[in-house]
Amino acid sequence: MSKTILVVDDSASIRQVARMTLVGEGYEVLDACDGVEALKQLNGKKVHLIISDLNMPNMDGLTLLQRVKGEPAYRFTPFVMLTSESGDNFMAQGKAHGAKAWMVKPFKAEQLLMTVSRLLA
Amino acid sequence: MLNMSELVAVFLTEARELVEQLERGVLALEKSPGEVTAEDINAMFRAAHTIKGSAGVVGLDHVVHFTHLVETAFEQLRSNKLVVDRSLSQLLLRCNDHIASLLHCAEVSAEPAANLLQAGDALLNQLRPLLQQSAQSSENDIASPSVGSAKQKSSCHVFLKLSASCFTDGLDPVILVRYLRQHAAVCREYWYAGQVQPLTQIAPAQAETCQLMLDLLMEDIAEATLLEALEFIRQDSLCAIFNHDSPVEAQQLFLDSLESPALAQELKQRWQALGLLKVPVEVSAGTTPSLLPRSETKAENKNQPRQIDQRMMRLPAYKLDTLVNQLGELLIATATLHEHSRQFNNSDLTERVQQVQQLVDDIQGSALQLRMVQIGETFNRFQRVVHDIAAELGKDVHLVIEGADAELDKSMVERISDPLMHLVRNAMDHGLESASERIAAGKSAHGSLLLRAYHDCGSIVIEIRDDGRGINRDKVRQKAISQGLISAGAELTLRQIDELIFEPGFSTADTVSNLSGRGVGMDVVRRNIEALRGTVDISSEPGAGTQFQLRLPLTLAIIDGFMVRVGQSRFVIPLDMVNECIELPADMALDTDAGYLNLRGEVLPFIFLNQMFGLGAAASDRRSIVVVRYGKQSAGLVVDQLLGEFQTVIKPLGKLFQFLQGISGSSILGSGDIALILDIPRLVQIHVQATERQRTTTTI
Repeated sequence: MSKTILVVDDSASIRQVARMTLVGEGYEVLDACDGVEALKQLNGKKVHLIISDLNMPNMDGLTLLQRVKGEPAYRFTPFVMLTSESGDNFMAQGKAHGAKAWMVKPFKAEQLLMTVSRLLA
Repeated sequence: MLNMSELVAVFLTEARELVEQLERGVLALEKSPGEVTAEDINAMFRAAHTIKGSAGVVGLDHVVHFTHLVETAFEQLRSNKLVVDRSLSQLLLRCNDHIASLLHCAEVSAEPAANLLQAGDALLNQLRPLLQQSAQSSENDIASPSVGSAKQKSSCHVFLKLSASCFTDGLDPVILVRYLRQHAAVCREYWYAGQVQPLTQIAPAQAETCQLMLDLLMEDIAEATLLEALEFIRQDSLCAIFNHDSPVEAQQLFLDSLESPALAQELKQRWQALGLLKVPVEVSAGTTPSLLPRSETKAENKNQPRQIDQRMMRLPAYKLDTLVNQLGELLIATATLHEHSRQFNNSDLTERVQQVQQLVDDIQGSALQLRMVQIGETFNRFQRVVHDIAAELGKDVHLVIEGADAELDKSMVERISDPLMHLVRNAMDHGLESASERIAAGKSAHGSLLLRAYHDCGSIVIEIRDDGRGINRDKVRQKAISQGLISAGAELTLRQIDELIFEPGFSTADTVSNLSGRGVGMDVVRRNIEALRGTVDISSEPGAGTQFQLRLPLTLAIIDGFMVRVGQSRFVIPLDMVNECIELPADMALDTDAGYLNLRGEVLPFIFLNQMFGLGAAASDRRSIVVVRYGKQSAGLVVDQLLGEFQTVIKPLGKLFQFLQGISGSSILGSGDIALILDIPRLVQIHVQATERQRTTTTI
């Protein structure tokens, strides 16, 4: 069974490239343009990995991380945060709420695939 | 595999919208910063961030490179590390235009031209100094992506003690092992658990915690692949990598570094059983084990020296002022203590007090150092100013900055930027000629303007030099006569003529331009600089250019003084200005009428301080002359007694006395007495004016 990845980013081009890359490798892809839409998309659905931007309108990545990790269904779902900021303190904040995300700098397609395969191999 | 052109089209549409959004935002910020909310700034930041991120995805690296710093700028605006002013918003607008140009290149599928990229670099160079340090280090991170060591393949032993939160963090160690298997020729894994409690005793919350440990033996794995694979897990888990390069004692060092001796013992036995334990043969000093206890600690160790160098802290200036002020009080108290302690004739006590005094001096030095900032920040702002004014005047002007690293007090920096602005504008408006005029005069078509700073005799000197037409002395003279500043027949030295431009209300510009020529300016400049205990000097050569030289103290808070006594009063002369002290021989010819004395063949104007301040006739026969120098001017001060060097904190004069001439401040002595600090430049000026007036009256 193919694995499902949720991609959350306010940039349409990032969503599109992520979708094309991941679908090409046989993953199922869901996408959302911000945290609010991401939560709507999830809604109890089984996803194996969440890839989210940190900075988004309406609901940012950190809030999304905390909301998602608060749901029992997604307790063990890996969460990858895309950011070029030194978001160490953001992440510490998340960690303090028991929600850990893995920071990844904005990527090239190959890098994205490698990260995904490390978490979902 | 990907349809890039379709992707680029999506990106371009999106990016163009964002660029427009940025432009609106920056304009709003410039027009009415008060109405721009934090969320607006955040949106601008996100726009820049998205442009950068998406550009990276579609492979437009120059857009990524350029937008990175712009994004940083908005990030710092968002966190209030950066304050918008006109020059910043103008710069941001131009940056935005540049992004648009880059996008246009991508649209027509052309590589940006070299001059466009250069223009981008120039913009970045302007933006960079405005940003906080931390931003630049993160840029370096981007510029040099971690490549990892080359494709060296080797066998290695990896030990992992997984973090308790490993599972809830979304890390499945089984997946990790599966991933490694794909990249290593051979991979053997040995799993074991730490202290696991019987199932019945585990609380539900504990059930999620991970107690696993893992030994992995791999052959033929690229080191970079291994490190990448372990990237996430190393952040929180305990991880050690031993390969054939590792010195034999690496294992022992790792075991020794473990917090729990029981664990170390267990691992030792386990590794021995697996045949992994290496017995140290000899201990060679100086080799570092390739040991990776948690990447966090590793990063910390590696970064430590850099953190000391680069980490910055922002704090309100008043806190520093308070500190400096309090230290000033402490200095005075220590001085008092020192003076009193001497009465006891107890050498131990005196020595200790001196020690304390030395320390307080040192601390004060450090505290003042805290307020020192480089002048470069101020100078660099002129790049755009010069650019804009040049455009407005239709002149071609090159700005050269020298000595940007010269430091001076923060409060000073703030107060000199206005006068500097005036001088720069003035130079560009009046000094530098238009290109055609310059060519006619046999000069290069573009004018040059030099901003230079350097330290000299405990002052900072700032020079603004242009290679323009110089001061038209005839014109200045006529103007001064027509404005009634001087009489028609007055004989003035060249220098005096030049200095007329500092007179209130003086302006030679035939037309009042937008920039200068309104007659407010040079006198204000001089007043501002003098208020900072500084001076402005002008030198000009017709046809070759004009130079303004500002000479300013490094700090306003403290003064190294030379104390003298006149009658019963004590005065402090700033030590930097004291050139020498000579004894006044009773028979030495003092031409009191002329107010000059012959010092080794040079003419030295002198001042009787007792007369100047109305302190009555001199009591002592053995008087001294303190020769002071300020800029190019020397003068002698006749005093009763020399009391020596003395460092003191300047206390401003109260409101009542702030217009007092020749006194710049006061200082409290160790004894509790007050000493007045002499304002030497003003004093000399008053004296020169007084004697000149006297002379003119005598000649009439």
